[in-house]
Amino acid sequence: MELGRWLRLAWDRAAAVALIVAGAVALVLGWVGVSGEAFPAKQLPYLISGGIAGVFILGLGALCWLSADLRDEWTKLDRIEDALNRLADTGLVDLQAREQQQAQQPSKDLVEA
Amino acid sequence: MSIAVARPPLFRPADRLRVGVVLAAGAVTIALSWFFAAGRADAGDQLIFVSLSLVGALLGMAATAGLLLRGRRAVGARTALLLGTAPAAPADAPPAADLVAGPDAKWYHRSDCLLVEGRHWPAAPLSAHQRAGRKACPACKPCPGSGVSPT
Repeated sequence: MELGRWLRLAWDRAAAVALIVAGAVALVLGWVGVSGEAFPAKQLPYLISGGIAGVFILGLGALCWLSADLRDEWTKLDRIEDALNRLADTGLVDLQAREQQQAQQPSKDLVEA
Repeated sequence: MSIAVARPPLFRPADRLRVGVVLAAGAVTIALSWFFAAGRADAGDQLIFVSLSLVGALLGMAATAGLLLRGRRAVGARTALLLGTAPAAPADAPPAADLVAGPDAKWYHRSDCLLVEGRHWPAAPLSAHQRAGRKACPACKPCPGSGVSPT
């Protein structure tokens, strides 16, 4: 139950772990395949399918893990933005100064509500 | 009136599509390299496919690095936009005058020194700290010249 919840919430990290495991397995299988063949012509396909493809899959896993980190940071920034908006609604914030600062850092994503 | 910021996604759909296409191209390149290399009997003929598969792997790495850099930049820009609006501490705030130290501490500090944050040490006059053999903290420099008024 807990695992299912974790998989649903952190699907990107689960995918990263799965890809990293798959990449490692591909590398090991590639090594096993190469070590079992005597001729280079039989070994090179293992080098491609096990070695290079394994590194490729490991890279995909790293991409998933690091993008999950970025998404976590993005979610934190969402929370900070909500807090700033709540603070702005209290009237305790100098909105004019905030607008000036945002004008100095123009973003096409800003809208006025 | 409040300022609402539209929630942009971390990665735009166009970015995801571009990276997906490049990753797929890399994966297909590796798969085709393996397919054609496996059908040849001479290792010399296979080397070109090994090189081709390396190109596929490099494509994948380039796509990965590009997406992560783009995401890193987006997070940095949004952090600057949001946290840059936070009010800065007033520059002319007077330094804390209380001098604090732990019971067996070697140094005494200003009460706003970062090294005593959360420790709730009691304040005492400078003479008491000196009698206890304590020295001024080299970080917060609780000396008379820094605005602290030792009592």
